[in-house]
Amino acid sequence: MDQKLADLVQKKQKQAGTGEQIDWDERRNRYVAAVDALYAQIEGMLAEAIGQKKVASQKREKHLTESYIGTYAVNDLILLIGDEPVRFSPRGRNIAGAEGRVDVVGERGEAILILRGDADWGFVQSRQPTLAVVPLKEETLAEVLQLVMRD
Amino acid sequence: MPFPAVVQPSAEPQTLDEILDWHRGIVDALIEQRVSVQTAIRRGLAVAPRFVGMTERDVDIHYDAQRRELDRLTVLNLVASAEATIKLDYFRRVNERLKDSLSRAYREWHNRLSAKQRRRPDFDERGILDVLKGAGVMDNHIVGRYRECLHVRHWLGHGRYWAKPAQVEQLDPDEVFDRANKLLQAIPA
Repeated sequence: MDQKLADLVQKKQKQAGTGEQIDWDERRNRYVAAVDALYAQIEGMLAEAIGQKKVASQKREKHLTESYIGTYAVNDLILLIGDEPVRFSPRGRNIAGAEGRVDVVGERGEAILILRGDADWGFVQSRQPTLAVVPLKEETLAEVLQLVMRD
Repeated sequence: MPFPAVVQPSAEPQTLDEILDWHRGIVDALIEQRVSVQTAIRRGLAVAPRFVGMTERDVDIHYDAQRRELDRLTVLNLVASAEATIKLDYFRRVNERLKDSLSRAYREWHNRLSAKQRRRPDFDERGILDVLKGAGVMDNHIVGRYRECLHVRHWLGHGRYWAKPAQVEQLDPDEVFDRANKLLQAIPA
């Protein structure tokens, strides 16, 4: 190997060694587990309606590819509310200011849920002028669904 | 009749070099900020509220758009700066009654204008650039290549409400700097 190239590689290796090492597999696993927990939380909130067959819930596997993490499998959650589908679609673990993101996609619009900490999902109400993230509860879920679904 | 032969006290003319230097500074800042946001994502560090929830791809798209906008505004500035220099040179030659061929061509054309046009002569078609081209003091293609930049300048300066000219995607700040600079350098002293 050319000396300059060897020096560059060595320098970069040293720089990488000085920082805190990131366990990307662990990050991915925690994110996938948090997504599963989110779906369980949502299905719990809708348990009565699901039991009465007013809401149908279905999971569909997809693959995400992210820097450092690589490609991995994660589920979309599709709710059929009446005749209208709403899809909860994971966007990834590597998210600015959060530990993960799931988009809520309806026929009228989209909303963003972000993960803070291990299991605290919140709905991003606004970014400007100030950041407003509302913790996901039953009333927040209703707000999100109203936002993305047809009137 | 008063002509704007000299730079007015409140004017803020910029040279092509100053504009390009500003552009490079802002490009550096954008690159630095982009890296800092991408690093924050990787390291789990805090980011400004407007970035919260963005994926790495979103961040790339955001900064690509910022760069595109910066380039366009820089092109506008460069073309306008050259236009200002050419107009000031035009008024100087007319007011000082210089004897070289370009000054004579300018003055001859200027004398045929109405009073209103003398204060605000056209620049592009049937304007100063036509006289500059016709005076034979430089290669015609130098004027032609600068003129292509005017399509971009007009589109940007008038609010982009008509179909985007092809030149908008073809001309970056370095290319426009080169064309404008070649034109200014070719104007005889």
